[in-house]
Amino acid sequence: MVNEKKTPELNVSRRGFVAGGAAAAGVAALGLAGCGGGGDTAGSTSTGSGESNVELIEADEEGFVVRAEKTDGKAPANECVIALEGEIQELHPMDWSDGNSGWVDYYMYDTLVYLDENYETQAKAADTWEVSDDACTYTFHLHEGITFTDGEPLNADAVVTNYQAAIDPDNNWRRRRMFIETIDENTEETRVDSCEAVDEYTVKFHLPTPYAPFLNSCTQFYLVSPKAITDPDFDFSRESAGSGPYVLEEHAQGDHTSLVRNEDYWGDAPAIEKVTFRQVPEAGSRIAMLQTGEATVSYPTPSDQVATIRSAGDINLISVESTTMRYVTLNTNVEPLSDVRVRQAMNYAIDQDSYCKVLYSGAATPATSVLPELVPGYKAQTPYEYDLEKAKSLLEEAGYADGFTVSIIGDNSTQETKGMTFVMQQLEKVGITVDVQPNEAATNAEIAAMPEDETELQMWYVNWSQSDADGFMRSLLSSAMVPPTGYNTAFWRNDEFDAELEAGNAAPTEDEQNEHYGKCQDIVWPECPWLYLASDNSLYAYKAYLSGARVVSAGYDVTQAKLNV
Amino acid sequence: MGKYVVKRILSMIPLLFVISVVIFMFIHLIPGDPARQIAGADATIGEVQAIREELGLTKPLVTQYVEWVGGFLTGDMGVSYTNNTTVIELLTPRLPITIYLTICSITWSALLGIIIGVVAAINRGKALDLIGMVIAIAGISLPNFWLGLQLMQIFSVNMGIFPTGGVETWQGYILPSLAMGAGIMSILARVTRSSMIENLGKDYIRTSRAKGLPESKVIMRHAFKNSSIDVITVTALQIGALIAGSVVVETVFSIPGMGRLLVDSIGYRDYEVVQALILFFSLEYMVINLLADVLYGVINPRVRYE
Repeated sequence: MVNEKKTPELNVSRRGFVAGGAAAAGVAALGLAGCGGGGDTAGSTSTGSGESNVELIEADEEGFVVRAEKTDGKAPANECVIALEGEIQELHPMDWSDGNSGWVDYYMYDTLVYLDENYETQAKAADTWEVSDDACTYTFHLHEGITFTDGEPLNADAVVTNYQAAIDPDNNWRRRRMFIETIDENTEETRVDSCEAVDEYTVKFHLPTPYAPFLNSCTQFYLVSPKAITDPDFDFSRESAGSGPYVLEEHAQGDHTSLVRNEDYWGDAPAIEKVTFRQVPEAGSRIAMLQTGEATVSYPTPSDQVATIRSAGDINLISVESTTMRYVTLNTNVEPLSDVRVRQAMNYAIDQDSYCKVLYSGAATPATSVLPELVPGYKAQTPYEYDLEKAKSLLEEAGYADGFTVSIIGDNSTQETKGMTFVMQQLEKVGITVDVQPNEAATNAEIAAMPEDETELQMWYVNWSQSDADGFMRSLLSSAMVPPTGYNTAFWRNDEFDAELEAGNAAPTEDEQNEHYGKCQDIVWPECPWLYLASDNSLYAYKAYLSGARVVSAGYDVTQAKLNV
Repeated sequence: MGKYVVKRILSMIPLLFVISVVIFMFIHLIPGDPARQIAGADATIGEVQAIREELGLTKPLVTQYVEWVGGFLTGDMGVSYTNNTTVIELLTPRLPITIYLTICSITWSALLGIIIGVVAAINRGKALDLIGMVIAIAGISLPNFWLGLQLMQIFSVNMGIFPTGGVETWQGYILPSLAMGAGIMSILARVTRSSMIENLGKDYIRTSRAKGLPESKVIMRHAFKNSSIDVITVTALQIGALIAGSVVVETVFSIPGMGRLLVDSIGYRDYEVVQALILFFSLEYMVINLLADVLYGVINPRVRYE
């Protein structure tokens, strides 16, 4: 696979939250940027309205959609204000479940290793690490002399204390899932047998069976001062207790979170004095804040704001690949979706290129596997080229020449409703009538979690974001994850697939893992448990006086960036 | 009148009780599971179950209701599921923001609305009337989020006078209040105008003019005083509607107020926050209507409280 891996997005799955977040994008369409550049929208269907005014997004090799012309501007202060759409719910470094909170914690807490902008595992608190030949023992050699902001040393004992706190079922912290495997509704197994301090700066994790995604889990395992993590009264929303480049200054729930530079940071000292995350739910307002200089960075940026950004002249807009996959699950228990020919026909009837243009102004890549290209282990499959004749003949073969009626649920945000309408209009052309049912996200989550014998779910328009192949395929397609245990809402079961996935997780080397993960994709692709749609890009807009920032897996990273003050 | 006020306040108690049952049932019976919302999409079923137990959601509904009301009466409004704080801690910073915003919006819009209405009524059919009604129709027709974004574009982006959002400074309240009050201003202008026109046509106005009262006194002392009952009624009702307006305006201007909190909390099925907020909004509505009733008597002594 030739994969120009550029810059990944948040690696935490947060389907419900992400879907809800798209809402403001639609609202903004009526806002400031009603004056698009009259770009080319060839091939787009009539979904939605006013689409023809929105210019298609085209990024250059470096990912720039808009390059600022005025680059000599000065920042009003040595402070980077990041205007973000969603909420920062929980700063507790082991109890967050939304991507935004994980992103802010990344600034304050170190992990053993992290995923960089190329999606490669890099050293952080651990200088080096080794995996034993049987892939069951992971040894981390910690960087010497790191201290937490409360003076406690970051040594092997501290890591062990952190691990024990993380897996403690009495704490029941959200990040516990990094080290726990759910077998079914009532059974779980720990993925780590023991975690021990070999010497002051060496820590060893022993796994009962090889589990390749373990290293990826470590990228979300934030290390906290042992004193704070074992103190039940410590309030992580008032102060931080990490060893990262920034420390918490103030957290005002629902408004902003500000961080100041950790003057004793052990690594390269950050140049920016203060980083503030400000919650700005309305997309038009985020762009207005960028224009006035009240914000330095805005995320996410709806594709219809490009013209406004371009006319501002001092704002850059970058488009980076993400690990978000958008798809529709097809309940394979329901007639006629149970017939693989029907499911294939539906995929032939979807024009993915149009989908990317209509929904994301072209800032998206058509799905060529169940995994986004960015996720390690991705293997390209033969796309279902848009072919209505083929779709019709497959339906005829299956005995549905006259089509059928099927229902689809999805979130009721503007963007998601538009997506479902798109699917409806596409399938209409081959005689399939789709009943679109937009619901609130919480309602959908409940409908989707109904057990197999009670569920009324037929199709679900949804998305998923994860940084590893197992996190994608196990959660969404393995037999064990049929609801209510997980989100295999296609109710698709395949023993061979399950076995390959297990083998992939147990394989000692990355090449072997990827070979098995590749086979999984080969197995699932022709089976079509989903309508394969696309992986959309993340659009970050930022002032030209900010330089040196990057997008790592945890989010936008300005810890090594500079402001022209 | 003191007796009347006490009676009215006492009658709020059973009403609040009924409302508490209705909101409780409403939020618990709509589909959606808070535990799932808190746990996040990649949560395991065991985790979700553990959260349900931790939050007491596995108990019978009646028990949950009794516990909630019991806590409420002793000053414990419960905890937010999503924010790990108590409901009181969550509401304390937001309450003044929303109240200031409401007061600012209602003050300018009532003043301007009444002035436009009176001027339009006096100049019925003339240019001033037409201008006033064009303003009123514009104010009522423009969606407040659109208006908010336009105000932001003009005053923040182009002119740089006001911040685009937040309420750290008093300047931050200006644009949101303008966006929020526009609709009310329009409604009040129209109500004042029609009520004034009605009263100006009455016999006592002719009598006053006939006995030689100056026109300004005829209008202010007689016509407007009689119209003000209608104006107060509509204003009181509009303050209730402001709650709905605050949701949108708080979103556009990134203001951490009660309206946005309500929407977010419903989304997450954060039961105790939703319950507390709706109870609060109901109470606010009742108090304002009580104030309106008392004002009737102050303005028009013929109104008697039984």
